[in-house]
Formats: sequence, structure tokens, C-alpha cells
Amino acid sequence: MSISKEGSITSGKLIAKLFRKNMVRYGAGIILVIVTQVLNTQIPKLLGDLIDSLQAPSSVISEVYALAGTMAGVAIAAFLFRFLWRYLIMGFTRSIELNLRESLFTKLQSLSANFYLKYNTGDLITRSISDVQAVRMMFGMGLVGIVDVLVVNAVSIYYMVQSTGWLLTASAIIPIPFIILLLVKVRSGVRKRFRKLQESISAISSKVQENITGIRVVKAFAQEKSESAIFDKLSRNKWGAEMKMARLSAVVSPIVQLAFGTVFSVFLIFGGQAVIKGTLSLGDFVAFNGYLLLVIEPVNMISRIVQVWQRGRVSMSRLDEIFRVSPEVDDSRADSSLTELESTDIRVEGLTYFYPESNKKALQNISFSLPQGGILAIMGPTGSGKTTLANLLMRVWQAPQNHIYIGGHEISTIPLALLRQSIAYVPQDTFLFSDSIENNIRFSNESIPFEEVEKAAIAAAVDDNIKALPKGYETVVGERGMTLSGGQKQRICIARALVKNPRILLLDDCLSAVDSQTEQLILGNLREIMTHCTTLMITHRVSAAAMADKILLLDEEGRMAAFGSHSELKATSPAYQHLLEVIEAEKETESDNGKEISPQTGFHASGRGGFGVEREELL
Amino acid sequence: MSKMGNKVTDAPLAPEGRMAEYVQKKKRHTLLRLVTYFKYYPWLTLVTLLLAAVSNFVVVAKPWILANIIDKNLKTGLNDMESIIRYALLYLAVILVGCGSDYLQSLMLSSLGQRIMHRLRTGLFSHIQHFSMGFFDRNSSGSILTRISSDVESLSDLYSSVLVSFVRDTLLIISVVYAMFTMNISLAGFSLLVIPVIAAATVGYRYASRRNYIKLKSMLSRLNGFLAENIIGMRIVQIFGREEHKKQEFHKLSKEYYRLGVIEIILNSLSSPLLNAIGNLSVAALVAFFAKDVLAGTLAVGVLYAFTDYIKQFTRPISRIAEQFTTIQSALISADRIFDMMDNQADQEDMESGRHIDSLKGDIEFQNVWFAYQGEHWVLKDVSFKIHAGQTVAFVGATGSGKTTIISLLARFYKIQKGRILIDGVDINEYNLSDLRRQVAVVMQDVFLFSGDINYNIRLNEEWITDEDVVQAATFVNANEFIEKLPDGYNQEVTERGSSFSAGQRQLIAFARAVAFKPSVLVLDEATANIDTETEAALKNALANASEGRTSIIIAHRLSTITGADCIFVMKNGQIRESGRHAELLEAKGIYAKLYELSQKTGEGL
Repeated sequence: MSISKEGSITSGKLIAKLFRKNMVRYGAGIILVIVTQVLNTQIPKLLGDLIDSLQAPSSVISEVYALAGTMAGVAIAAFLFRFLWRYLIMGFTRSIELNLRESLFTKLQSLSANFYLKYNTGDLITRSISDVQAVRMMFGMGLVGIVDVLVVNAVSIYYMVQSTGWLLTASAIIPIPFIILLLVKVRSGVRKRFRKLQESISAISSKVQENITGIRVVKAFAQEKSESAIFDKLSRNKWGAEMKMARLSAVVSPIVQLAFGTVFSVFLIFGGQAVIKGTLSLGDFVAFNGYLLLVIEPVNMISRIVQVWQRGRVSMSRLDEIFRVSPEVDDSRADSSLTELESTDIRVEGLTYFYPESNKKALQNISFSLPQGGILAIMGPTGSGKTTLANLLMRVWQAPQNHIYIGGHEISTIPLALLRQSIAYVPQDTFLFSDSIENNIRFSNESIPFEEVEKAAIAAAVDDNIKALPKGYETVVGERGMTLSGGQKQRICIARALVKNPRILLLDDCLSAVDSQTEQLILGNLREIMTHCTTLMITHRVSAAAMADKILLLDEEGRMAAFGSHSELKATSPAYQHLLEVIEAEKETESDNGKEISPQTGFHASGRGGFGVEREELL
Repeated sequence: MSKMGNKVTDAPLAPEGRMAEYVQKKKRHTLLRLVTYFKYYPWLTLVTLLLAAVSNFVVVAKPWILANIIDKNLKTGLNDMESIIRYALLYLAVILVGCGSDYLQSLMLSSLGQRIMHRLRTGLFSHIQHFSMGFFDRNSSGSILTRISSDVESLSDLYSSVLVSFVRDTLLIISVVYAMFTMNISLAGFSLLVIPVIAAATVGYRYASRRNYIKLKSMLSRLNGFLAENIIGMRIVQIFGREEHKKQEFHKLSKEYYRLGVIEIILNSLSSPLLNAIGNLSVAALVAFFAKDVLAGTLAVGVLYAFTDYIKQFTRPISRIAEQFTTIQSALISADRIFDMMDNQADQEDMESGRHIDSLKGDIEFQNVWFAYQGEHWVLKDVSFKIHAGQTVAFVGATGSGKTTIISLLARFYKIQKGRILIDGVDINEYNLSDLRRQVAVVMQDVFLFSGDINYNIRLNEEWITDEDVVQAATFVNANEFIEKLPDGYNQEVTERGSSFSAGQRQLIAFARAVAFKPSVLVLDEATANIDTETEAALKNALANASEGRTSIIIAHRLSTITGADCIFVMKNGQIRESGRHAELLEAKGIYAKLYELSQKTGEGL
């Protein structure tokens, strides 16, 4: 998995683009923030005028009404502007959220299998939901907060200078630079702590996601209590991370208060002295306090802003971590003039494959060729690289260059979309989406008519089963839908592949959960379809392999143990002969009714410890 | 085995029209219930409240000191510098106390909030652990995840700031109102006219925002669910080239979430500015209304001025509460969602009670068992059979004939509707569920591996299974060989759902897990489907060993694997149609004979 530095989108670039597009909206919002704050500071002044007008000996009632009316007008205007800026800016941040989340999803869709080995589902969900939300807050409350603080401070400092002069103003705001310095200092600490916090949230999501997906195993092995104990630990981790954060952020507000409080106590002494001396009016003395309060309020807010801001930055970097991954499989070498494959013969030449970040060879020096319309059976022990080979042909994994050719084209020069459009795949582990059976079958193209869906289902010998369900083809399957048996799911997956009418068909041990009667039916149907397309079939059953044109037998090390037709291999290949012998031997023991050969494998159970329960040996 | 999943959508359960009623009914008690969580931490709560009182005291003391300096000193011309310094130092001391108590208070509040959330989160998780399988059939992992993560998280602000400032602000409002009435009753009466206006605005806002929040949160659940499904199934999406299509689906959900989000913003943007405006307008109205009295000399300006200040002091906390209303509202909806799940006792499994057992002999009997996952859609119809301790039996039959269901019932994953299931002559409902499941080890069709290493995946969290036991179990099922070849051997990390292993390897690991648990009854549900013939042959020997002295149940489609069984049950459409030994069944020339003949002809198992 390589990390690309240039050219890739990052959350920063994406947001910058959105800002450019919505400049007017955001700009108008910020201007309204300023206008609103200025209006708000007018209200105390107006109130003061109002009171003064009542006290004036020559006051007229209409004047009072006029002032009250103005005040009401300003209040209403402030309300409207405040509503407007909130709508403009906050609404915009929602669209940042939307765009960021969709871009992330698109990015996830482009990433290849090795990426998904590294990142857990729960972690990716946390990033798509909670981290994206944190970025939204950063540009909403975070940015507005900064503008707010600046405006309020500027306005109140202006009035302070107006009424108390430079000297007093300067002494009042002495703490501000120090506080800003303090905030800059704690910034990196805040960020570090937020990263830990966000990671702990990811860990919780991952655990929950895994636990729910595997709940049947949890229950079958009565692991509920220990799973809860593990979760307890993760939850404690998060608690700890939150507390670390709290300890740091709780410092800021008291320090701000202390700083201003100290300034004010000093002012009380010297200002008091000045009043006594007559160099400071009592009114200014009182006003100073009022303004100081005005200044403290937004400075206090700064600590919250710093938090929102740093959290957003952490989340942005977590998103960028994903945005920066460049997909291992892409169209960089594709020949875009290629719009159709003339032929689908497959040639593999000296293919050796290592999994990324592993030095174990999954496949070694594999060579074979298969003409268009040919059928190849791939056999071999568990872990011999059969599925790996299929994945390389679909470019789920990236094969080294110049080893695999389809229709004469080196595989990476075939545009990915074209390649995958030509291939239909039936996976080993059946995965269906939460949707109706009908839509699951026509997954490759939603415009496939129902008749085709039905035809594919009949060919996969699952039509009867589907029709027996209360809602037939409308039955919803998947995570929250109807639970189907393993064999039924496998056959729906076969139908899903067949309905594509593919040029290449890849069957990955896809009849393992199907009974032999059905298997025969399906294989018969497939044989008809396979005449049109090149077929690769991973199987453990010689019965299935025997109907292939060629058999590729892999050994435990991922090497070619044999290649040829069933009859050829039966005659010449010792490895294949050995395989047949094993099966023969099995059959014999069966007819002898089985249980005789039970050689001691040397396995015997040791007593169970731990819980102090003595148990007789069972094995 | 086919079964109706009762599809539960995340959308509000109540129909639109009745939603308001449903909402009103639940709300009051949800808030109370949230508050009761403080009772688990009485001291912390008490100290926090005391600290809040100290902070309040500081807020009051500061103007008092200032007033003393001005009124008693500067205004009167006393000009006692010493007393000014004394007051200044007192002021500094008060500030110091205030800072200290503020810091402690916010730490304690965070701690309190985190403790409560930890309690809620872990409580919810273990509650979910004890739900029966039916619950998981109905609820997507995404919606469960949302409950434990975002919904619990929504309560964070509620506990760490909102509730305390709510109490503080309420006290503030009460004291201001009291002061107003002692100063001037008619002015106070006029000022309080603002209350119905505020109340009306609040009720309207609450109604609108609550509706929206319910939708917003269920939308978030669906987003989570969609992401979970699509990340897990990403490979299929890519192979079938359906990225664009799925992107559109995601866009639809995100766009809806966005739309609801914008509505939320509009509502939020209205609430606190509106209350602010109401405050300012009522000040203007107050002055305008009583201006005549002032000019006429019947009302002192000072009093009127004081009231303008009171109204501000009065509306500020109210507007603050309104600002927090968003948080409260959001928290309440989340709390409802959490409590709904916690209150679901019907789906809970009882892991505590029942007869404790260390081992079972393994006599199994089904007596006229009827079972349907839902309604009258019978999956098992009047199934009766007997398995004697130590026997190896097999179930065969077409997919969907009910084989897997029998196993699920044996491990009590579901409750049967009619009939009885006995193990060692005792109804399985009488056993302690945990003990029962430990004694019945099931290796399933869909293998599931946890993240962790191989070692962990075999022993899970059981400390009594030693490293040697793990290696022995792995050796026993022929997994040792491939495991030892891995770079890290038994410590090799398993990535999510074991995706770095082949299907066959995953099955072997799952098999080793079942063996390592040393169960009394071993159940293999198509456990060897993805394993090559040679490994399977070796495995069969191991299995023969494993079933020595232990009841074993095998489900297989390859008849070759089960011909040696002591008894073979042939199932069709949820009923047992034939049973007996291989040879007996062949002689009977029934369904089994036909199946076997077919498998021989096609070379199946070859």
C-alpha cells in the first residue's frame, strides 16, 4: 500500500474548494456575524440613552417612545441577522460534512483489498461519521467563535479606549497576549490527547462491530462475560482519554479568570488611589469593570474554540490518512482505447506472487494457458493459493507485470471496468446485501428484467427455494433480512454471476454447501453456459474437476504440482494419482463402515485448569 | 433452513400521527431516569454541587466587594486607602478560590459524566451480549453500533455541563424573580408577562426539534448500517463494478441526513437568538410602558433601571438554557433509544440461573419438536429422535430442510414452540445456558474469526486452555502444519474476520477451537466444506478420535463423510423421513438410497 504525496485529494483541499465555491455565502455570513455583534453592543448604549432621557428635566414622552422603538428595532434586526448568519454558516458546514463524507466513501470504494486488511470496519465507520462531524464543528462553531472573539474584543476595546483612555485599556488587556501564548503552548498537547481519544472511539466501534458480526460464535462458546470484560477495558480507555483531555482543557478557563482577576485587584488599588486623588472619575472606575467583563467573556470562549479547532485538525489528519492511500489497483497502465475484449483466452506465464508486506510466496512460477471457452479446474490443499490466483485474475490483488494476459492483453492494460464487466465471480464466502433476492441477483445491473433473474435462478437451482418463501423474490435478505441456509446463499450468488452473461466465469469452491443432487443439476446447467465463456473453477471434488478441459493442481507451497486434462494427469502425474488414491482409500473405508481407521494421532486432552474444575479426559 | 426475519426499520416505530403522543409520554420519565444515574456516585455529585455553590458565591461576592469599595469608600469621600487595599486583597483571594473551585468542579463534572457514560456503555454492551439470536436477526450491526457509540456520546454534554448549569440557572432565575417582587410588584408583574411568550416559543421549538432529532438519529443509524454493510462487502461491489450504483445509494442517505441536519440548524438558529430578542424587546416595552410614570414622578428612574437589568439577568439564563436545549433534546432522544434497548427484557437470555453442569453424558432426545422462526412458518414439524451418548450421528437432506435449525435449537439459540428437547434426560431449558453451550461445541458453516492472533482465536478468552492445549487442538485437526509455517506461528495476527486466511484454513482454526473447548457434544455443521480432500481425510481420522466417548453430530452434503455414522437422519421439509445406519438405509431403498446412488454415479466425494 503506497502513500501518494501529490495529486491526491486531501480534506484540506476539498474544504478549500468548497470554500471557494461558497465564498459569497460564507463571506456574507461572516459579515453578518460582525454586524450582529456591533448591533448587540448598541443595545446597552441605547438603554443608557433611554434612561438618560427619562432623567433629563426637559424630557418628552415621544422622545422616549422613539428611543424605545429604536431599541426594539435594533433587537429585531440583531435577531434576524443572527439567525441569518447561523443559517448561512452552519448550513454551509453541513454541506462540508456531506461532501467530505461522500468523498471519503468514494475513496473507500477505490481502495483495494490490501487496504481492507489494515483497517477495521468499525474504525472506518468512526472516521466516516465521527471524524467528519468533528471537521464540521471546526468550520462551524470553531471558525465563527474566532470571528466572534475578534469582533467582540475589538468593539469592546474600542469603547474602552473611548471612555477610559489608552493607559487603562492597555493595562486591562495585558493578560491577553499571555493567555494566547498559553493556548498556543497547550495546542499540541490538546491535539495529542484528541488523537488518543479518537483512537479509543475507533477501538470501541471496531469491537462492537466485530462482536455483533460474530455474535453466534460468542454465544456458542459462552463468551458473553469475557467479551463484556474486554469491552469494559476499551470503555475505560476512552474514559481515561477523556479525562486526560478534561484535565488539560479545565486549566484554561481558571487561568484566564485568575489573570484578569489579578489585573483587576491591582487596578482596584491604583484606580482607587486615582479616584481619591481626583485623576480618575468614579464613572470611569465603574466602567472599567464593565469592560473587563466584556473582554473576559470571549477570552474564556477561546479555550472551547481551541478544543473544537484541534479536534477538527486531528480528525482531518485521520481522514487524510485515508485520502492519501493510493489504490494498489488502478487504471494507470490501462489502454483506454480498449473498449471490448475480442477474445477471453487466458495466459499465465511464470507468475510468482508475494502478498504485500509478507515474504512468503503465495504462488510460485505458475504458467498455463486456457483458450476462450475452455474450462480450467484449480485444485490443491488448503492455503495453496487457489483463491489468490482468482483474485489476481480479477485484479483484486495486483499481479506483477507481464505475467497474466487476457485476450492477448497484459492484464493491467485492460481498463478495470472492462475487466470486471467481463468477469463474473462466485465467491467462497457468500455475501448478500440487505435487499430483495431479486435485486441481489440483478446486482450487476439494475435494469436486468425479471425474466432474466428468474432464468438465472433456475439455472442455479434456487428458483424453487425462492418461490417457496412467503414473499418469493421480494424477500429481503442480508443482515436484517431473512436468514437463508448456506447452500441457498451460495446458489443465489451463482445466479448473481450467471445473470451477467459473462465472458469469463470464476467459481470459487461455490458448491461446498450444496447437496450432491443439486450440485449435479447446477453443474449440468453450468456446462451449457460454460460453452460461451472461459471458466475457472476452484474445487475440491474430482467429480467437478473431471468435467474440466484442464486441471491445475497446486501444492502447499503454491507451486504447480500438475497441469493437464483429467485423463492425462491420471496417467502421468504422481501428485494427481496420489490425490485419487487418497479418495479411493476414503471410499473403501466408507464401504467398510468407516470408523476402523482411527490411528492414534497422539492428541489427548490435558485436564482443564483455571477454574478448578476437574474433568475427565474427553478426547 | 429458511426463516422470516422480522424487518425492523430504524425509522420511528410509531406511525406519524401518533408520534407526538409517543414522544410526549416517554420524555418526562427519560430525563428523570438520566438524573437517577447520579445516585451511583453520591459523594462525587455532592462535592460537585458544593463546588458549584462556591462558584456561585464567588460570582455574587465580586460585585459585593466592588460595591463596598465604591459606596463605602470612594462615593462617601472616606478615602481610606487601607480599606481599599484590604478589599482588593479580598477580591484577589475570592478570585483564587473561584479559580480553584472552577477547576475542580469541571474536573469532577467530567469525571462524573465519564463514569456515568462508562456505566451506560458497558451496561448496554453486556445487555446486548445477552440478547437471544432472534434479536440479532432483526437488528443490523450498524444500528446497534450507533446505540453504543453515538447515542451514548450524545449524553456526554448533558452530564458534564448541561445538568449542573441547568440547576444553577434555575436557581438564578428564582432569585431574580424574588428580588423583582420585593422591589416593585407591578413592574415585576409586567416583566413576568414575558414568561408565557417564552413558554410558547419553547414548546413550539421543542416539538419541532424533537421530531427532527428522532429522524436525524435514525438516519445516522442507517448511515452506519449502510457503511458497515458496504465496507464488509466492498470486494463484491468492486468485482461487480457497482461502485457508482452504491455511491448513488449512499448519496441518497447522506443527502437526507444533510437535509435533516439543515433543518436542525434552522431550528437551533432560531431558539437562542429569539429568546435574546424577546429579552431586549421586553426591556424596550417595559421602559416605554412605564415612562409616563417616571415622567409623572410616580416611579423612580433607579427602580426602572434596576428592572431593565433584572430582565436581562432573567432572560440570560433562560436563553442559555434554550441554547442547551439542543443538547438536552438530542440527549433525550438518544437516551430513549438506549433505554428502549435496555428495557427489552423479552429478548434477554438468562445466563445465570439453571442447573450447573461440568460435563454431560450426551444422550440427546427431541420429543415432538415444532419450531418456527416466525409465525406459523414451521421449519421443524413434529421432529422426534434419540441419540445415545457417545454415538456419532449425521443429518442429511437438501438445503433448507432444517438441519442447521436442529443444531441451533440444541444450543438453545431459539426457543421451540412445541415439544421438548432433552439432554441426559433433562429438559435443556433447565440447564444453565452458559454451561449448556460450553458442553455443546458447534463448528459452523460460516466461520467467524476475531481480530487477535491465532492463539486467541482457538482459546478465545478461556484461561484454562493452555498454550499446549492450543497446539494440541491445532495438531489434532491438522492445522498445526500451516500455522507453524506462518511467520509468527501461533502469534500470527488475524485481520478482521480472518480475511488474510483461506476459507479452508479458517475452517480448520474454527475446528481447533471447538476441540480445544473439550465439549461433551461436538457438532459439525458443514465444517469441512472448503477443505481439500486430503486434509479432510486426515481430519476424518481426527474426528473419529474426537468422537470417541462423546456424542457427535455431523451435517454434511458429501455423503462420503458420513457413511460411518451410527445413525443417519434424512430430513426433508422440516421432518425426519428416514433414519438408520448407512447399510440399513440403502436396503430400505428410500430417499437416502437415491441420494447415495446419485452421489456414487457422479463420483461425488471422489
